[in-house]
Amino acid sequence: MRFRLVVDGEPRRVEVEQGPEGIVIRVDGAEYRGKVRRVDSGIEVRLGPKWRRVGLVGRTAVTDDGTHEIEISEIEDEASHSGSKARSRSARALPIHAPMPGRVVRVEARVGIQVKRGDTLLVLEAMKMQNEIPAPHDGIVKQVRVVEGDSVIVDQIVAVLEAH
Amino acid sequence: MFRRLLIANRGEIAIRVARTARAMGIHCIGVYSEADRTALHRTAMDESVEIGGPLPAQSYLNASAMLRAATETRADAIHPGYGFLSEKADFAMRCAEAGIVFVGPPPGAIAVTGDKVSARRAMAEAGVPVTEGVDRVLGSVDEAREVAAEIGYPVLFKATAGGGGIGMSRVDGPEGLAESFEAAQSVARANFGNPDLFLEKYLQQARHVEVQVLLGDRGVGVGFVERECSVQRRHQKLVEETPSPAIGTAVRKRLREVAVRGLQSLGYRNAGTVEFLFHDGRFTFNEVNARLQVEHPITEMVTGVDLVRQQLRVASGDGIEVSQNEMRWKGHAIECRINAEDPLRNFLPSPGSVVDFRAPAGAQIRVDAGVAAGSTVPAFYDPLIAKLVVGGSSRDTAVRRMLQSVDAFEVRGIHTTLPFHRVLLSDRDFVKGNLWTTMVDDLRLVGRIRSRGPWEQQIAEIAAAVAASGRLKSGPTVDLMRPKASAWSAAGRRQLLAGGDHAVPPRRRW
Repeated sequence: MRFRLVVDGEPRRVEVEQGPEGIVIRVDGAEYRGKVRRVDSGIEVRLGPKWRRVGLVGRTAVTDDGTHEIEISEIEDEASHSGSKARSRSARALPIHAPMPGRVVRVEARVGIQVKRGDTLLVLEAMKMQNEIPAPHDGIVKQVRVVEGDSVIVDQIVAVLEAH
Repeated sequence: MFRRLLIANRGEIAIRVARTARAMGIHCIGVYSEADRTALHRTAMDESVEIGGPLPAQSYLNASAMLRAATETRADAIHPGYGFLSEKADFAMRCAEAGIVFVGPPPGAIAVTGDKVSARRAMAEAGVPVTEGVDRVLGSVDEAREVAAEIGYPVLFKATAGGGGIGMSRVDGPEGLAESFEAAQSVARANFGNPDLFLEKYLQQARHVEVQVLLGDRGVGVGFVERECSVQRRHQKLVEETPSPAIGTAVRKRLREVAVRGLQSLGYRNAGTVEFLFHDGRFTFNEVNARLQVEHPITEMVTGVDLVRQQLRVASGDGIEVSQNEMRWKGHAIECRINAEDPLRNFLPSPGSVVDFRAPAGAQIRVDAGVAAGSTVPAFYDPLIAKLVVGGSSRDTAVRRMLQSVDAFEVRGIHTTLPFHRVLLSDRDFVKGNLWTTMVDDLRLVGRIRSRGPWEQQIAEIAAAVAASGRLKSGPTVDLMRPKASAWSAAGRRQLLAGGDHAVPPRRRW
């Protein structure tokens, strides 16, 4: 499951996997492993040595040290995708997000071409650095939504892959 | 002395230059791009003017727009800072033609040092030891192969027009040479509009040391105690210190004399730095930086000399206030560059909104910052947002103080290199002063970064709770006529919530 979470004005991209061993969670690429359990007053999470309680009320998360304003958006649930009838075939649309704002200096992806995981889809210049945006998965390029010279904002969808 | 100074830069260096200039009673004029309308550096100036669009070529690199701004605001001098127009001989020339003093070296000296082959040749003629290599542009792959075989692998291709670590390519043997040659040419053409390459012996496990020089009228001036800047990534400096833990008194004196003599031979004036590689007890010339450098504060901290003040005095004809005989230095200083980059994701640029910014303070701690809480870090410019500089009576004291200062430094909203510094400062080799230019990769320091700290873990806990609660099934949160919390109100809110028993807001350690 992936979603975008903003806590007290700080945006993060979150990926969550539920496994038999517990939960694996990646926040902007930093990985945590732990466990989650429901209790009467909310949810308890253990990512470090201790269980910590998190209460969720509307757009507020209450933790041991205070309350935090949260926003949730761009929810992608892969588990329900593969379960639904429309997506019962193995292919699925995978949007490629810009990891940061910047300027498109080169587009290597062309609609219809086959790419391998790690192939460069486009090059984004930010802060005087050219950053190659790689394909996260093998697949076919279904859409390319930017051209050279475009400015993109963070999390903007720049291309769509049909992953397989 | 000048009355009105235009500061042709942005961020921390614009603020740093304005601090000294204003203390000297000079009226400071700032410039800003469309993307920097709310930038912090504007608040450090007496006045500021918009000079163009967000791309550097439209604004901070736009010589015509810069000169127009200087003329319209009746500036009598321009301080270029570092980067942007600071090492453009053509710009320095145009300033002179417009009757405005360029606070930096003469255009001729900038031109010689900007061409790496000519700089190498000039230094060799002045008796500065140079790295084994060629003093001419390589005409072909075959010529490169011949030279490389003579010198012995590994070798390093360098762009003659290069700088800032861009356009260098290491070759370990004849088989990879042709490919590297072409790749380096295309990088050089793309970055500098000039594909010319030359070649030097690649020195493994070398240290980067450099000497700050300040030359006044008739080339009389001083050389400072050396800085070591071996902690780099992709040839970009991350941490600098002075003095170098590897250099003793005799070598120190020779380094200084050679650097001063080298710059004097070019007819150089004002502040400049001569960079060397230090290898097997020998040092050889690397390049000249014809400007004030990012890491100049560490030199200021151990010597007490304000380099910007001296730059302005040299440029206005008032002369340098220190002489080599009086020059003293004391203790040790270190600088950590705080960049808006995410070390956990291979230093991915991390522009965005700075939600909170709390810098450490105290004796022997100096923070030159270009942002504050509420600032935006645009994606158009370089990622340096602040420099954390500390001093100590010894290197050990300084390292310890730096570690505490890094712990106390809190930046929210964007990712920074702070977690990298924490790992580096605890590394055994670093603590012992055992430094070399590829140590960040060789020691896999980045792989040792385990976390971004407790606040990030709290975000992960909230995220885990959100995922587990079934909350995602009800879709995204929506804004119903509700104004977005601004960074300022969020900061204020945190101040309130952080209250309670604490006289000062609690600081999270990580």
